[in-house]
Amino acid sequence: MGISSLAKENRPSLMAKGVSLEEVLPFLPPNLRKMIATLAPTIGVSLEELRLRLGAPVALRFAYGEAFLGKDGRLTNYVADGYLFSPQEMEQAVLLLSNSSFYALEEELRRGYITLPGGHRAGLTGRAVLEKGYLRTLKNISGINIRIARYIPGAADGILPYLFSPTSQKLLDTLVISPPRAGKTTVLRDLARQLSEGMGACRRSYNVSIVDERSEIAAVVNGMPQIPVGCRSDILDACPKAEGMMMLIRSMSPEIIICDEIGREEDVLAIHEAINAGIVVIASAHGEDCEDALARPFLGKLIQDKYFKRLVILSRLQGPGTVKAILDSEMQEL
Amino acid sequence: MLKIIGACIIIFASASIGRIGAAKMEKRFHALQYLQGGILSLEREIGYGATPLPEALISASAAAGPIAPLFQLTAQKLLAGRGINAQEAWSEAIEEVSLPLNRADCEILAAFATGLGLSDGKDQLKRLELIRLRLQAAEEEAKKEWQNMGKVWKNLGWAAGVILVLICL
Repeated sequence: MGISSLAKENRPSLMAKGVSLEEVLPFLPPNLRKMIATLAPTIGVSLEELRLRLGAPVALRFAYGEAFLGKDGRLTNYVADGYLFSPQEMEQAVLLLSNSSFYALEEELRRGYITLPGGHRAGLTGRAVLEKGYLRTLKNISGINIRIARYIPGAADGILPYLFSPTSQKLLDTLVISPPRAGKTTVLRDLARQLSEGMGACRRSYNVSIVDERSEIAAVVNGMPQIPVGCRSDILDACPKAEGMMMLIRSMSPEIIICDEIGREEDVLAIHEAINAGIVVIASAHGEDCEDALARPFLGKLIQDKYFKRLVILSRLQGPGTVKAILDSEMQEL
Repeated sequence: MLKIIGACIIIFASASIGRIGAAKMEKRFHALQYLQGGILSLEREIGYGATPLPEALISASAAAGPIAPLFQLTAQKLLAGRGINAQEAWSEAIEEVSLPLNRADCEILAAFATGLGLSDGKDQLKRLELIRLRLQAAEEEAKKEWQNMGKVWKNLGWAAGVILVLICL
């Protein structure tokens, strides 16, 4: 596949509506910003990641491949023709991403990523600073990976009908399993929207509570979700999942709790608590398939105990958001 | 008649020069007071709210009285998306805003901007507190200067005017 077609490749299922590369541009150093802005009409919809590595060519990752930003501002396959990201630009990028306020991002630097307005995420690598054996912060940032958030209305259309019990029509507890960049947050976001507004396969609307620990699902900025997650959705932003779920159970009387990337012991305990309280939990976890999820110490136990009645496996086979399989709690494909 | 008008003009002009000198000292004293107010507000924004620097500077400008444009301009420069740090933005803003401060005060302001925003909350608060203490000392000195030398300037203005008129007559 040629470089230009790579950037223009937009299969209908992957069309990201409402994705604006312009949201990311202000965080790029002025020179790079100009070059990417020129390319934006071509790459805007299909760009998934922008990788900035100190002293290396700027790499752009699309759904179907990768290309470098050339010195002439065009896309290229050759490293030698690539536009090298300088130390000065790295410093500028870090200042822009952090809004010149490292103190406001202590937690984010500890986790290694910064959530940007619009739900985009800037992952960081650098030199770790430890305190009493624990990661305190990162310094000498050497790599930035800007992941473009996708808002795809209808991303959950193929999944939603399977999430209801065929007999009672009750919504079932669901775990979305997917490798990185396969669309699990996009699917969760659309599930929240459709369930909250009673759209598609839903017979009614639900009160949805979202624990958005990484501000990725709803991308809340100053209390306002930047991505539609439905009119009956309450969002607990930047709150640890386990603590957030318990808080929501007590305070918001949710019918559904949605959270992203579960796996720690405390997350699993909180899900346990929520499901036993009669609340439907829809969560996501990293993994290639069911076996991966089962192999994880705490999450595996939850699946084995059949807390999740539906397991949705996503892959990138036909691009992000491809549904590989939908299983019931007996691991039977539906 | 002309002589009397001329004498009045000389005395008035001379007294005005004296008053301007005294007012300059008063302005410096008040500016140092307001600067401390602004920095105290910035400490609150950084320490308790972990507010990003541009927003924190805008909030702090409300407590900075006549120094507010300095805080606001710095915030604007940071928000312009040029990828400059707070020290560069602050230095540029100081060049553009006229401040009733002397060289020693400007050195404190330069120290204030060094490393601003570029470390964790604890370190930022320590730095800001240190700067506030330095400004407090400068304010004490400015107050003494204004109280002692302010009167001297005013009286000297009148006296110089009268002496000049007497010599001319």
